[in-house]
Order: sequence, then structure tokens, then C-alpha cells
Amino acid sequence: MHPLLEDKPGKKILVLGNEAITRAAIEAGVTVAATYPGTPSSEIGNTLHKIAKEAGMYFEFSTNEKVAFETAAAAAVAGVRAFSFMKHVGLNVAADAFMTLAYTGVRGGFVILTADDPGCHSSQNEQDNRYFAKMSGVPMVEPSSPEEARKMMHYAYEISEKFEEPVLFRTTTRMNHVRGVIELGEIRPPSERVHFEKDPGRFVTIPSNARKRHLVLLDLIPRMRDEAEVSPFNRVVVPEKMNTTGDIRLGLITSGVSFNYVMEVLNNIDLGVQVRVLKLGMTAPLPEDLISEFCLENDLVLTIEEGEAYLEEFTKTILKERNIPTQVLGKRDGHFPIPNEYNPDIVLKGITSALDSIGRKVDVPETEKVDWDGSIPEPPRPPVLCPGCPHRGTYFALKRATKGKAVYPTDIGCYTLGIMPPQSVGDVLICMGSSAGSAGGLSRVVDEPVIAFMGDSTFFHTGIPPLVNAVHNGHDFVLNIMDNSTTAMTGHQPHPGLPIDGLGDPAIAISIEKVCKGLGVQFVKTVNPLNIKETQKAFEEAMAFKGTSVVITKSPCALLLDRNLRKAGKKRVKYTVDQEKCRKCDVCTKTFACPAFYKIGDDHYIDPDQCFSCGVCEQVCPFGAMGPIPEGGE
Amino acid sequence: MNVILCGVGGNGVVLTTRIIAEAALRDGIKVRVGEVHGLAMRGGTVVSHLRLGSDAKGVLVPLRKADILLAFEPLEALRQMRFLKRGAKVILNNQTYVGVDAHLGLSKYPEVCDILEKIEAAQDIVDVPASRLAIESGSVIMTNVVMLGCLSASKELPISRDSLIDAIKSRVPPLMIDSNIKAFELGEKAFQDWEKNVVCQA
Repeated sequence: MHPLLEDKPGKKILVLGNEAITRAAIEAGVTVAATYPGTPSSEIGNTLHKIAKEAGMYFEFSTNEKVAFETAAAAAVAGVRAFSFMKHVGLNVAADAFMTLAYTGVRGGFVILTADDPGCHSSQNEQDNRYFAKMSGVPMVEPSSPEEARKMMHYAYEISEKFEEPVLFRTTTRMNHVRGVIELGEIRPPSERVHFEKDPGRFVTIPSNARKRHLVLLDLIPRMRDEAEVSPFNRVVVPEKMNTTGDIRLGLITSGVSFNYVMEVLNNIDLGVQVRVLKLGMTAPLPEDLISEFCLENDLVLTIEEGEAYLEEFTKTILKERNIPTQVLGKRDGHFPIPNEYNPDIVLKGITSALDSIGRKVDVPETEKVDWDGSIPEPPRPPVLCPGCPHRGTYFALKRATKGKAVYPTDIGCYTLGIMPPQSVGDVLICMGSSAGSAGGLSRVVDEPVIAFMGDSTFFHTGIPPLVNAVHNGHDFVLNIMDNSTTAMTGHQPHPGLPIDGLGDPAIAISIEKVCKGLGVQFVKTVNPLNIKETQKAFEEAMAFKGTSVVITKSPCALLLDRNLRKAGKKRVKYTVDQEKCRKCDVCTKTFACPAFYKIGDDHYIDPDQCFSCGVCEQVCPFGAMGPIPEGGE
Repeated sequence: MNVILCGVGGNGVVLTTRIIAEAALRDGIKVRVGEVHGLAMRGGTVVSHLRLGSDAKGVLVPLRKADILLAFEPLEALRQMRFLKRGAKVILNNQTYVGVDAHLGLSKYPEVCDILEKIEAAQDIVDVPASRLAIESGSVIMTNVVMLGCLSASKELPISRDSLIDAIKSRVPPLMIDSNIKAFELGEKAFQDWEKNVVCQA
């Protein structure tokens, strides 16, 4: 049995933040869960993919976040507990549904997890989704540790059912990817089938109903605020090493992972002032009285939060409204940064800077300094396409076809790494599915051919509407759908093009080629990108075609292929360089640049531990020096 | 106690951190780990922060607070120096991984001896041929287990050898247990050899 399914309340286990949340969903009796994979939330889906069926939960990888949201929301409207989770930008995709569901509310508990990514570890922006709670009016919670996340999931379902509203569960990368200990709770079984109680006046949002429901929501907000005032997750914390003699009372308002950094700083350094911390776990609606009282009890208050000045702006507004004179400092005063993630050093710097501004010097003990002068340059190590990656073959063949003269809108997936040299393809990227839309616009104004890239999972996510648009409006560009038969970047989740579903059951695989033809694309060709000549020819034909054309480069992800071969106990043929034939022309390293290639002096070699045996190097070398290691050789 | 593990995608940094954390839990030690996922698997820099006992608070180790660095690659070790206390234990696999950038001539990989010399000036460094020893015990995949053996023998961690071995066993396929134990022991021996060497030199 999977450790997250064990019915042993009280047992302590070490888990990833995302696993703590998954376990809590099982404990809470979630009956329907749906997602589209996105880091830093991906491991929740990966884990449910393995265990949902055994837990009696319905789970799916939906085509995109909006569909995932609608699937789960409908189950909650019907009256069972539901869960939808996504990365922060995924909530943009689901926002249309999210904003209006706040009006109708739900009958079973519904939690929507948004995994924000301060620092852009694996995202195209670092938007602060706490504003989605404010904009929609739904309540929000923010955990600081795996065990708190587990408890908070239960609480989120309780308040969701109490107010019949969805609850936003906001995490950040360091919450999702922290590993810590949780104590298993009791498991509530998922619901049986329910009878749908019709209530169109509430759930059908025609304007006359929407107007009424907006009033219902506005009436609810003060009640939800009352909940925040007494929520067990909103509390004042006195640091272990409290300075009781300081003449200034300093209050720190914080939430999420910033709380941990604050406590770490307070544990290590005596600020010379009395300090109390208001730790907020329920952060929408914000507790006005609690915050006001906390500020009244302190001489100076700092708001410490990653991202935007969400707590700060609210605190300053409330204090102004209530004529409370306590000074509040934060980002708006330049003491704390908006971009990037925090750490204890940034938090300490912000606190000392704020205290300094009111004339208090903090005596920061001179920590043991290391003589680290950075005198040796540390060249960065950007991520690259893996050895054997079919995308490398695609790009190599494509560049031979375009001779470097083309504009390349790209999209979100491993293939985005094509922007790195020597491939250097990728000129415009906004968001999931945007390449085909961007290509349409570019094809109307630029003087070179336009070639757009899109992955298979991205195609199903948001790639189909722009392709329909291109065909109908007669946009002249090539869409290269890079089908590696998985959602590779986020950890190999299945998608609608594969014969398996979220529960691991057999499913109807949808053919990308047939979809394209069905949409009216007049030129559709599927090729194997590990065959350079064939791929180059397909691109040349597609570029010569007037109108929207599609080239599907289809070859499985090298990591997946390697894993399957290893499972099957099969060995792969490795490739090597015949030193007698090699003319040291550098074409292989300079234009193909497989990470398995290396050089000693001018001599080229292939690292057998890294070679994935794709065989493309054999086609790349102009002198036939690269090829499979002969049997019994080396 | 604060431990930083670093390397290149594919080195097994995340798995190794997890093994140490699970061993700590077996020994009843408070533990918290911060990992970086996502793009990291494509040959990029990978770092994880492991915090034990009373330091198990936030996920990130503050600057100059790390007691141990377990580095799977020399250049990556260099990148983490600002996190180390003076005299921190650095256990380093001396196998370099030169990225595509350097092959293309876009950047230059520093000389390994320069890196070692620099680290040695401020830290207590143990460099081991972990990748080579892993190949000796069956596969380069077990480089991380060699490193764990070395770390265990250094007695820097408050975690028992038995718990580390148990944690490794629970993470590898049954058929691979023997070769993993061998890799662990080679790591232990590498540390002891290194210690002897140092004594001789002194």
C-alpha cells in the first residue's frame, strides 16, 4: 500500500509539501480531483495518478486548467467534495470559471490550489495570486509547513461547506517542495453518487440571477471576515527568545513561507526590541479587527510577505480608516523587495533597514565570514535538451530547411530550451498555446517565413483554438507540433493523445494528425525527427505550402524511452567517434551539441554513460566518423 | 545542523537528500528539506537544503550557516561556498561535468585544481573519486551512494550508519541492494584512505 493511503492516524511520515496536500485530500474524502500538470504543483497530480483509484477518488489530468476547474467545480455544485490544483498561471486559464463560481458558490466543499512561483523557478512570471481571492471574493488560506498544509486542507473544506463558497489554497514553490514530517489523520471515505438538486436560480448565471448572486456574495464577505477574526490559523506568536527589555514594541505581520524566515531570524538575532509576530493563515478576507488590535499594541509594524504588498496595503488602509497612528513599513517604503523569493537573509536585511529608518541600529553579530571573493568565475549551467532528445533532431533538420531565415514563435515545454545555442530557435513566447496565435499575427507582418513550435500536451491544452483561427483566416505559417508522447517537462504525465487516463485506466487516444486534418489544415505531415533528411524535407514542403501547414515531429521523450528500455532489461547500442575518420571540423559540437559529446584537445568523444542512442549524430557528421559501437568493440 | 547538497541534473541530489532525511527521521531527529524541481532535470544546477535538529525551520539555509556541503561536481561546489561556515566539511566528487556551453566555447570551465585550492583555503575539504568508485561497484548511477558512505564515515552527521543503510535499502530495487552496499562501503573506505593520507602528509 502507498504510504499516503495508510489508515494509521497518528503515524508520522516524511513527505513533500505536495504529498502532504495529497494526503489531506484523501483524508478529507475528496471525491473528484482534476488538474493540468504545472510545476510547482505537479507532484500532487503525479501522486494521485498512482493512488486515486485505490482511494476510491475520481482523478483526471484535464486538457487544461479551465476544464479541470469546471470538472471539479461541477462535482462540488452537485454536493460532493472536490479539489482542483494548478500552478499560478494555470489559474489565469481557469479564471473565467473561477470568477463566476464565486457568485454561485458550491454545495460540497471545493478547494482550488494555486501554486505560485516567486523567483520564477519554473514559470514565465511571478504573479501573486492572492489578488485572485480579493478580486473574486472567495476565502483564501496560506500554509507555512507540510503539517500545517495538511491541517489547513481540512479547515478549507470546513469553511467551504460552512459558507458554500470555493476556497483558494495558496502555496508557493518553497511550500510545495519542502520535505517535512506530517502526522496522518483519519480518512473519510469519498462520497457515493448523489442526486442533483436543481436550483437554476442559483447555478445558471443569466444576468438576472448573477445580479442576485452578487448580492449574496457581498453579504457573505463580512461573515467570512468574522471567521478570519477567530480562525485558529490567524494567531499571535511570541518568539522563543523574546527580548522583554526593549523599549520599542515591534510587530511583524506575515504569512506563508515568509513566516518561517521571520522566525529563523528572530531565533538567531536579538533585535534589541520587543517582538511579536502576527501569523496569518487565513488571508482572505483579512481580519480587520485582529490586524488593528495587533497594530495598536505595537509601536512599529512591518509587513513581511513575498510578492506584492498585499498584507501591507490592506493594513495601511485599515489603520488609516480607523485612525490608528502605528507606523507600518514594508515594500512601499523600500525595505522589502517585490521580485524574487525571500530567504532569512533578505528578511533580516528588511527588518534592519526598517528599524534603521526610525533611528534604531540593530547590532547584527558579525557571523563567521568566509574569505569568499568569487575570484574564480562560476560560469552558469543553463538547462539544455537531454542527450537523445528528439527536439534536438527537429531543430537541426528545421534549421537546414530554413537556412536560419525564419521567425520562430515558441511555446511552453522542454522544447522552449531550443532558445539556447546552438539551436537558438525561439523568438516570441508568452504563455501556453500562444505560439500558434503569435504565428498568425507575425505571418501578416514579417518578411520571413514563420515557424511555430508547440508540444503535444500544449496542443490539447490551448493549441487547438488558435489553429482553427489560423486555418479559417488563412494565416500562412508552419506549425510544428513536437509530439514526444508525454507531458515531459512537468514529469511525464499522460495527455489526451495517449491511451491512458488519470486513474491509469485505458483511454481513447486522440490522434493529433486527425484533429489537424479535421480542423481543415490542408498540409499535415508526420515525420520521425530522428531521421534528419525526412524531417528537413517535410519542413521544406510545409514552407512552400501557401496557408497554414502542420508538421508533426513524432518520437518519444528520450528519458521515457530509456526508462522503458531499462524496465524491459534491454541494453541500448551506444555511439562512438571513429578517430581515424574524424576531421575535427566541429560540426557535431557546434551545430548539434548533444550533451554526450565532449572534447579532449581537438579530439571528439561521446560519453557512453550519457549517450541515449538516438543515432542522429551519425547523420550529422559530414565524414561518417560517428556511429554505433561495433559489437564486441570498446 | 545545516547540510547543502549540490550537483548537476541526473546526479541524484534530490534522492540523496531524501535518503538522509529519511534516515534522520528513523533516528528521531527533526528534519526539513528544501528542493528545487522542474527544469533542474535537464542538465542544470541542482541544489537542496537539508536542515536537522533545532535548525529545521525555514527551508533555506541562511548565508554562512551550512555545516556540511555534499557536492557531486566541483563547479557546483564552488557555487555554494557563500553558504558555508568557515571550516565547514566539504565532501566533493572530483568528477567534472562540463556543460554544452563550455563545449561551444561560450564559457570556460575553471581549472579543477584552482577550485580545490580555493575551497581548501577556507574549508575542510575531502575530495573523492566517487563516480569512479561507483563504476567500480557496478554503475555510475550509484555515485550518490558512494558519497553517502563517505559522509557517513566522516561522522559529521548525527545520523547512524544503520539508519542510512536502511534508508538506502528502502529506496533501491531489491536486486540492486548488494551493489549499493558495496558502493556505500567504497565510499567509507575512500574517506578513511583520505584521512590516512592527510595524517601522513602532516
